[in-house]
Parts: sequence; C-alpha cells; structure tokens
Amino acid sequence: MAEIVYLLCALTSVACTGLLLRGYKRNRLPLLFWSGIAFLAFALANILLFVDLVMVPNYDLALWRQSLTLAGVMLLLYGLIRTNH
Amino acid sequence: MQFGLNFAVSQSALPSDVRQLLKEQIRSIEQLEILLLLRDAPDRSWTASEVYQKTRSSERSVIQTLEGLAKRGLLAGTEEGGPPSRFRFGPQTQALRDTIDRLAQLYAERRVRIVEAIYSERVSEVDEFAKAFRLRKDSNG
Repeated sequence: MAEIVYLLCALTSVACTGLLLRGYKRNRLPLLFWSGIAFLAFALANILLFVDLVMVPNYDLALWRQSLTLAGVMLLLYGLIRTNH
Repeated sequence: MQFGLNFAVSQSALPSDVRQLLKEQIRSIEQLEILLLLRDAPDRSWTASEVYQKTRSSERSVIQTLEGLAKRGLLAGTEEGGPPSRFRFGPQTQALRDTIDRLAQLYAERRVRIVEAIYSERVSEVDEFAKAFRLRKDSNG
C-alpha cells in the first residue's frame, strides 16, 4: 500500500514537471522554468523515496532525498522572488 | 502595480507602432515619465539622481530604467567602457524618434488610454503558472 502512495507521489511530481516545462516551452516565462526545474528536483526526490524504502531498504538515502528537496525549494523560491525589468 | 483588466477596452485607437513600443520597452508609468522627461530636454544630459529629484519614485528603479532604456537604444549613455553615469535622450533611429513623439502627444491627450495600454499588455507570470496546469487547452484565459 505504501509503495503505491510513493509511486503516485513520484508520478504526480513528474506530471507537474512536464506541465510546467511544457508551459515554459510555449511562452518562455522565467517563473515556469524555475518552478519546472524545482518540480524536477521534487520528482527525483520522490523517485528516490520509492527506491530508498522499497528497493534498497538496507541503505539510507535520506540525505540525498532531503538535499534534492532542499534544492527544489530553493529553486522555487528563486523563481518566485526574482523580478524582471 | 498590475491591474487585472478584464473588461473590454478598445485599444484600436492607439497606432500600432506606439502600442508596440509600449509593449516592448515600457513596463510602468515611471519608465514612461522618465523617457518623456529626458525627451523634453534633449540637449542636456542627466544623472540618475537628477532624474530621481524629478520623479521622486525610487533611486534604484530610476537607475535600472535609465540603464535599461539606454541598453535598448532609446537613451544614450555618455560613457563608453563601463556603466554610463549620464544619460541623454537619444533614440537610435528616426522611426523610433517619430514613434516616441507620437507617444508623447498621445500621453498628453489621452492619458488613460496609454496607461491602460501599458498595464494590459503585461502577461501575469502567476496567471501563466496556473494556466500551465490546465490539461485541456482552454480558449478563455
């Protein structure tokens, strides 16, 4: 059951990444680029979660997962805060 | 400052070159005022703080506007090799000069139309972010 949830998280993040980067390809707005990349980091973190807890339970990939999530949040914040003139 | 202009405003009254100039070069009323301020005194050059004395907006946005307009060929900076410190009105082509003249005249006569043109062309990034999640292509924004 838990495995399905992790998988769904990963799929949702990948879908968000795809939608945002598709939007960026269409209208070239920087916010879409940065949030797309941020969701890519979240997607990788979610995939790694699945790998960590289901496929390689003896290794702990928590540090990698948290680093990816942190990177994603920073990219998202950057995209939201930056202004253009 | 952004207005969500959803009511239908007839933009057809503005000539297309003016509308194009506004869409590409002018992001705010402050920028338009700065451009027209320098246009009113074409023989003198200005420093950013002199312009700020007139506009009283924010010194940082004045500097950014002046540098941006100079980089895009509407103003001339007076120092080569390094950031210019003085700016003068100097559109690089005659066509651009004519368009700015038309814009100045329209701003004097039909200020509201110009203001609406400036703010209605701006695409809201947050709106586009939300629209990206639409799975079905919607004609309505």
